Amino acid sequence: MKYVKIFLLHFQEATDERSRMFVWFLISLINPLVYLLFWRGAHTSLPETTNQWQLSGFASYYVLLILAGSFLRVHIEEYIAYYDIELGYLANSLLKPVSYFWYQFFHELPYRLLETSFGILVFLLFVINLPGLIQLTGKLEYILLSIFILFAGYFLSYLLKISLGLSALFTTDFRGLSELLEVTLLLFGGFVLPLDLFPDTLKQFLFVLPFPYMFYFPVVAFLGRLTIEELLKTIVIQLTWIVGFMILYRIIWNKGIRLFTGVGR
Amino acid sequence: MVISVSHLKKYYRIHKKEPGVIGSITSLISRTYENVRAVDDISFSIDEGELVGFIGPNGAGKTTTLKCLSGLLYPTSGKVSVLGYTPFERKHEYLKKISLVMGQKNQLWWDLPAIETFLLNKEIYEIADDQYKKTLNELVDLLEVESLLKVQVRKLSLGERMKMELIAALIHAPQVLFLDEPTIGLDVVMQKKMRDFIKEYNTRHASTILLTSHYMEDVRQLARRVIIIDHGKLLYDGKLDNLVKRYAKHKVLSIVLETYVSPDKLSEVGELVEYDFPHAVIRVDRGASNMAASQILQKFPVDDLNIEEPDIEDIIRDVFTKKNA
Repeated sequence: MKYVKIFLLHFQEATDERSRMFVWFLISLINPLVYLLFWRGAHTSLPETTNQWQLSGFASYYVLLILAGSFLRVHIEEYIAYYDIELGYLANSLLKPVSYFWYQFFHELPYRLLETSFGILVFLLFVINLPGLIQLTGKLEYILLSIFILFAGYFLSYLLKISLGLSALFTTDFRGLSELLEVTLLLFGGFVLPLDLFPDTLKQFLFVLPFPYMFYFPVVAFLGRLTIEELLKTIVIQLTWIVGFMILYRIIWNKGIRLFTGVGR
Repeated sequence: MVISVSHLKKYYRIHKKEPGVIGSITSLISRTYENVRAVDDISFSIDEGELVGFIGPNGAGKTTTLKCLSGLLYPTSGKVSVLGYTPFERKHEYLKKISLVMGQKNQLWWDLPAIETFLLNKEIYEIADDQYKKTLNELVDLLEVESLLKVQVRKLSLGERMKMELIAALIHAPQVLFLDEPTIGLDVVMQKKMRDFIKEYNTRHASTILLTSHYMEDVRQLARRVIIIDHGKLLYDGKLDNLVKRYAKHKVLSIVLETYVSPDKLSEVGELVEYDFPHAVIRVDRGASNMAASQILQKFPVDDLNIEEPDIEDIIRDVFTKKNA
């Protein structure tokens, strides 16, 4: 019950901050729209470069990326680094019989859900105004596996961001690390272009990293671009990374918390 | 024994930098660090139901000690036990039995009414409905805040917020309460209300309370026992009365004169601390206070005379001064 209450209170807070959330959503919205416009032009002039990705494929990819960006791009790290660690408000959580990990999880979830609701509106606008442009998988087993991949992607994204936020316990230069990770996520998460279009050798390397499993694979799973085997393989790799990140989180937490001063770094 | 502290040490490693650009460039290549001894080998114990005042100047190590006791900080060395638990393990059973109130930190949700924080704490501490209602009613009555429960926290005054902070901290009826500057920033009327509340709460619930405050009035009104620390070291642990006897080497004669007497003549009796006719304050040796009083009554036209203990703040200042001398 305690986590339900935490979720509901943060939901109230998130609804109060709807203008700030809308600005965040615009960030998730503008990037894919710009890339969609770019690929629309590129597709007209260089159709042979995108033979596996027709215009509707790009449109579907980037529209779904708006949704993925809203839901899957967890933004908890700055709050943790600045408010909890730099200003010392982590003390409030540490002194309560509650898990910090799950507290932050249910703190962030309402913001993601409300931001996603903006994304759904944009998605519906595309579906209604451009019927047939957005093509998604329609098979039940594919949908169910895609939903699992979506939530695993969210959990992976959350684990990465909470660990990043807690890294502020060790370093005063949190923002440098944060910026580096954001750029990495943009490139390797599939925000710039579908990773499928990368050269094969680079693709093989990228698909070992955790970043595509947070954003890219959930999107292409819903687009129906993965076979059942590929969907299952994606889930196995996601679960492996989740275990890895859980271990990383425990190490950062156990070591970092000993450095916490309660007033700042 | 509820709290037991044995040879507690908490050291911080801090980075030092020379001023200016050169200093910044040097610190890029090579940094110098220094160990700050925030708490340096202190030991004490506190029994159930005691209300102890924890005194010291800024940077003495009071808050650090409270943070170690509540489980926020991991000690460098030494043993700490509260209610039989090791605080830093932060077991949920332990956290349900304690509370730390920091005057300069808040746990209330800024944009929501305070009642929402209380309800959240009810869930977090797993308090039964009946118990929650009973405790909340009691605290609301004691602090007289019923009309404020549904007001957005950001709209409350500092004093009102502090009252709400106390309710949030006490809603789970903790057995041990750590109060760090609970009256900081409050006006004198609100300070008194807070003191009255803490006293009443301690009496009603027999809870163990460790209190730090810069306002000596808080300590004087609430604590019979005080622990004084400075630079992380324990200077005194005992009854407030004994502190006065041990460290106050003088008494103060407060006089109201009938007619004007020159300051020089008054100074013959002792150290003239203050003179604003008809009021005069003379400091004399503790053992000679009766003799000095009789001398004043014989030599000068006196309307009123009182022999008083020196101000507690002066005594504590003396303790720090002697330690640092």
